[in-house]
Amino acid sequence: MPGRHNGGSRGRGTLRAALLAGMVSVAGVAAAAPALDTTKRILVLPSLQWNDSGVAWNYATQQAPDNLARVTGGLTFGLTPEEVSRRLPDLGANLHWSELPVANEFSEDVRYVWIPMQTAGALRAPVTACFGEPSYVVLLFLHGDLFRISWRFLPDRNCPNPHAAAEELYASYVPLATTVAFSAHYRTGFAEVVDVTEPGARSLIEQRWQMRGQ
Amino acid sequence: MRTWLRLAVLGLPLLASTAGRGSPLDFDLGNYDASQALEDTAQPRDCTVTYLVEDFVTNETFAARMQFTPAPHAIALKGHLPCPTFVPPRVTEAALEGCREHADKKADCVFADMSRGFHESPLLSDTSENAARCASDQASQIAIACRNAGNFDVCNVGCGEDRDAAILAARNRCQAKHRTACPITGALPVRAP
Repeated sequence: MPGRHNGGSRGRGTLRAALLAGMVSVAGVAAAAPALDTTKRILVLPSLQWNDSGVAWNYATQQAPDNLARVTGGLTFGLTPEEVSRRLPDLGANLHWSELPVANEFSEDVRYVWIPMQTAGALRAPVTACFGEPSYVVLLFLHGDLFRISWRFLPDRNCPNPHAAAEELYASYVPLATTVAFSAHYRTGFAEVVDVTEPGARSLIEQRWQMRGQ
Repeated sequence: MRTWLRLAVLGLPLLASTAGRGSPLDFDLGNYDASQALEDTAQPRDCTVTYLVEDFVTNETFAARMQFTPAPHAIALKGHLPCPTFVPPRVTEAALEGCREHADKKADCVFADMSRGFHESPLLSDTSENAARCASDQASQIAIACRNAGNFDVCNVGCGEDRDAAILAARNRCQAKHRTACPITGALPVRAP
């Protein structure tokens, strides 16, 4: 019997050792498991056409404000608040320059209107990825003319990271020539921002929104 | 008779030249069908050199396609017009400029083919311009393969005849250079659609 006892003890020890070895092995495999393959989005800039000596270039495809309108669903820079409200019936209001709030972050007379992302319609058309409910679009006017559209993607419980949504939207504006629109994608606080600005806005192009109260 | 003979001798070259111009050439059409004729007469496409440039702060990759007007006597090979053997610095600079127009700071933009020490010193000088581009007379696809180095991706570029081959080339280059797996990949055609 002692032999059996010993044998039983050895058996339990072997089982324990085997279990331990198994756990170590699983942990080892997990540690050594290759990272999952992920896709990196490539943003396509407008093609340039060079002469045969590689000295001068033009955009391979000439672009006009219509190219911007096709992506925004009808909005182009230079529209007045009244014209914007006619093109965005979901706003449910007639915009007037004199009634718009002032955007204090600018040194010039810039005014704005904001629209919840859910009701932005064609303005957020390319986006299929998730974004939080507080996300919104801001239309900014300089001296009465639309000069910037700014999408602010925010997280919420259902969508803790709206990065993919911002990237999707940004990808549809990068192919526009800088003669038509300047686009930028950046992060401030919890917000992923995509700004598309009128090329003639000069110093305002580089001015980026900063989220307060982070 | 003599006058007739003289006229006949004088008229012979005239007759011969008329025959040369007017007689139909004897074409053996054989299996030379319409589709082949179209293929053979199709305009060869201009050279495109595509760069991949990276804003390493936002982790965004940009493709800058440069199309070249062919030299007057350029000869196409298999439907591809040759690309310049030497890419002028202005072209390279324009590729970077495409990224810089979207970046917060100019220094954020580098070529997407990075050297081993890039994650420690993320500088343009630690990237390769030559290896960050593919030319349409050599490859159809350009790809990127990266590993995440914490705050940003460290990447390399590959060229290939199809998407898989280009990704494999980029991944092999990335894994050899950085001695680790490069699971983040992307690809696109060298030429604009």
